[in-house]
Amino acid sequence: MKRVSALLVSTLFLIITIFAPTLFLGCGDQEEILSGGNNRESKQIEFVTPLKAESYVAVANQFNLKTDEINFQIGEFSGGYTLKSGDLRKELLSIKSTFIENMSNALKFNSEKDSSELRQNIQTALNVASQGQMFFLNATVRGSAEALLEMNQKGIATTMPDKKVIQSSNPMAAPQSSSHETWAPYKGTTTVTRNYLYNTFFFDNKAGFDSASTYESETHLYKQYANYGGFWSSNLPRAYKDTQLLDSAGLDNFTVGCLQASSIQPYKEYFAYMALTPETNIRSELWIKGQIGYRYPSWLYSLWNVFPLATTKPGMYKGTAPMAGGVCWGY
Amino acid sequence: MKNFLNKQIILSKKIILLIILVIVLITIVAIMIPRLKSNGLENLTGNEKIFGESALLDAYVMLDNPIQRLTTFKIKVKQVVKQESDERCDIGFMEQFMVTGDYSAVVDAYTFFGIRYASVNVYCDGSTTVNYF
Repeated sequence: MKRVSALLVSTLFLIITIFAPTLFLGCGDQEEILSGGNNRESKQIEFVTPLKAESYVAVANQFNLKTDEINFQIGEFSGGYTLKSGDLRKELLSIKSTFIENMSNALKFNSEKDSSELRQNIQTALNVASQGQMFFLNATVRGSAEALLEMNQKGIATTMPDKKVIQSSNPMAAPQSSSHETWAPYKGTTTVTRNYLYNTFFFDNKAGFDSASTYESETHLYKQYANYGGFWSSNLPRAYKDTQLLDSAGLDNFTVGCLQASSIQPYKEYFAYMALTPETNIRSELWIKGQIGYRYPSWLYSLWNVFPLATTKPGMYKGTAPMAGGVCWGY
Repeated sequence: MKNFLNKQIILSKKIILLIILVIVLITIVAIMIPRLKSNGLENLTGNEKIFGESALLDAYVMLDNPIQRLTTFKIKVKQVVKQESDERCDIGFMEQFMVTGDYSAVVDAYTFFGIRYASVNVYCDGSTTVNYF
């Protein structure tokens, strides 16, 4: 092999390091591990058929699952919700009102865009939500190994690949263009308050995306300005909320991404919305950036195997938060 | 017979503990080797140093895959280059990173045992690209 991926080697090393003790301990405690016992590890599961709230509650009760986070689909919009430790049924039903409340924030912004397609789509999604047409696609749950296996066997849900995925080298070079990158949005809007952030953007060129490409809409804010408020939504293809694991000391990077950038349509208005909870800093610098990445392996659609390739200039938008209203930007 | 089996179990447990200890020690060494590297700022001065500090932050933000975050133990400024133009380089998120001069930097990322696995190019306009090895 011409080039040996150092990251591949290191990740293998990490996995061996983490799991070796478990394997060795297995000699003495094999019975307990095999039986599942009280071992309730956190797993991501994907429902074979999208479930409605009542159906999911029944499944969670039947298999004794504790739900940490759940992702939903309303019309063409997807999103995620972090559950508090309350009544599951009540919380799932409250997602509808959370969606309506947050998307109404998006509608409030920029009244001159009344006729925009996105605005109409949001209105449609609000109608769909109020009719209760909300489906759950996948969830992060804690349950016994047997329960997860049984769900798989009964065709209810499949366990998504483990987070510790092997990855390696760069399959493509970061594309560039003379004006703006061939994968970056050319215009958009941004509004960041103390309670939410809402970015919309249009692409005019997607030549830089191939079948394994991913795209992320990033919002950089000072630490202590806000935390993730437990709700996000987007109409990007195969949208996801990126983890803020070990974000650096200086800033928070609130990111909604797209696992299948090749499906992005030119001149369609996309949005990324995230609820925020205010922190101690009342003001922050704000940067809006885009990032192209790639999935490795390309057949796996998970945020854990998305690797960055290039970011745009911060010139997409640079300002301060909170904002009194939204701003339009061109890039 | 029972005593013999008990001795065997105790012996195998000691071997397992020894293996775990060795793995832990190797892990510590593997993490410490890159950690002991400098961040590359010590030989830089003035605007180059300011840009280098900014480049370190940009590179860290750029390498945002969760696995990368967990397995990157050092990022180091390899070089800072000043281009011919004298444009103001308003690159930093923080105010202290504002510099005059069209700079670019190369930041290397190191993982276990100090292996360099990626190189991040940070430009004056705030854009970044990554090359993996």
